[in-house]
Order: sequence, then structure tokens, then C-alpha cells
Amino acid sequence: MIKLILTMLAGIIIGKIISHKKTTTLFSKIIFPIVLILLFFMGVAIGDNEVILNSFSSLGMQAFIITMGAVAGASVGGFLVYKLLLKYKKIR
Amino acid sequence: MRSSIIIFLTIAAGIFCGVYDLIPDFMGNNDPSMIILYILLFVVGLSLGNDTEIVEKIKTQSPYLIVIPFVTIIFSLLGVLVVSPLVTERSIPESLAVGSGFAYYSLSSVLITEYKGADLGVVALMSNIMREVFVLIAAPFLVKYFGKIAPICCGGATTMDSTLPIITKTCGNEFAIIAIINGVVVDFCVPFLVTYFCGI
Repeated sequence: MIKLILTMLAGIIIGKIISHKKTTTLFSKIIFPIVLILLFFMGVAIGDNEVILNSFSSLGMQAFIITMGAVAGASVGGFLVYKLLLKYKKIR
Repeated sequence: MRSSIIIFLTIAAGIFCGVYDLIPDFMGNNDPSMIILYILLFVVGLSLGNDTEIVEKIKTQSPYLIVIPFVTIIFSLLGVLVVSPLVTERSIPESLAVGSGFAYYSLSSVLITEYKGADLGVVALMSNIMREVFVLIAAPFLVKYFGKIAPICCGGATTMDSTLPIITKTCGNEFAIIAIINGVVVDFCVPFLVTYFCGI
């Protein structure tokens, strides 16, 4: 866990040192294919696992409840900050 | 839109290979995806550290607006915390790990698959796709009942790319920069929060 975060921090520091406009677009372009490789492996793990394949509706329900909680919370938070920013005239 | 199709086709191809055992024992002890994950996070770090324009953009904005991404993170997780007892199959940190995707479904689901297994990875994938789709559909409703910041908070990490068009359309162009800042900051926090909640 900590190793993963340190890896990312190392990336940030090195990225800062070699900061250049061209490299920024290069890096963001490489991210997508790497994510695709990992998503492919995730697909393999899903397809390989009969328990998952047979419990899609249950997993979907869990996902749905978590999503509803998250967007309800975010909406309340957004509402509060909107009222506050309006009150102190930080936005129109 | 094109990238979403590529993502779905890739996952479908993986599932196909898994179901028909086209890749023998790939997820065994010599799992290559952990190494790829390290490479990914390193490159994510590189691109974050490299991007100096973002810092400049944030500096030119009203300092009050920087609270919005933190409201997004804290209130989303509070919402998940409230409903997590309903998800009896999962522990509270597991639900929070799924919620920490903030609609960034590709990165959050691969991270969770590595740490918690593919079944929670699937939950993360579905949940975060639902969140993005919800914003795309419900943005006008959110603006009407919760004000113009709510779609940005609901959009989480996607408000700088996939949900940006609907946000500028429903909230107005002046909210584009807030959406971008929100997206960048939340995006940045996703790997940290997901790994944190997978660890406890």
C-alpha cells in the first residue's frame, strides 16, 4: 500500500524536475494504454471467476446503493457550499 | 465517448479470455498486473508533477473555490458512510474504497481489483460508471434542486473531461473553471484514498 503511494510521489517529484509542455501531453497519453492493459487483466479475472459471473445482480445492487449514497452526499455538500458562496457573493 | 467504447471493449475481451480460459493461469502467482500498476501510478505521478499550468490556473481563481473539491470528497464519503450499513456484504472501509473512485471508474476499479479481488473491483467499476452516467442524465435536475455546484460535486473526478460539457451546459460557462479545478484535485486524490481505504 505505502509502496504504491511512494511510487506515485516519486513520479510527482521527477515530473516536477523534468517539467516541460511536451512531456505533459506525452505522459497523459501513455496513461490510457496502461489502464487498458490493467482493465483487460481485470476482465480476465472477472471471466475466470464463476462466483462473480453468477452474482452480477447482487454486485450491481451493492454498486447502486454506494452510488446513491455518494451522489446524495455530494448533492447536499454542493447545495450547502452553493448557498454559502451565494451569501458571501463569491459567485453569481 | 470513443475512449469509453475502447474501455468497454477491452474489459469485454478480458472477460471473454477469462471465461474460455484463453490465458492459462494468468492471475496466478506471477501476476503481471501488480507491476503494471506500479508503472501506472509512477506515470500518473509524472503527469501530475509535470503539469505546472494547473497550479497557475488555480492561483488565479478565488481562494474560496478551492473548497469545492474537498466538499466533493468529504460529502461523497459521508454519503457512502451513511448507506454502507445497507451494503451488508461489504465492510465499511470496502464501501468507502468504492466510493473513493469519485466516478473515475478505470483507475479505481483496477486498484481495488489488485487489493481486494475482482468481485469488489466489479462493484467499483459499476458504481463509478453509474455515478458518471447519473451526472450526465441528472445534471439539470441537480441544478434545479441543489444549485449549480451540485453537478460538479456529483461528477467527482470526471468534471474536467467527460462530464464537463454537460456541466457548462447546465450551470453556465463561468462554472467550467470550477469544474476543471474540482476534477483535477479529486482525480489527484483518488489513488491515495482508494489505497488508504483498501488498507484498513
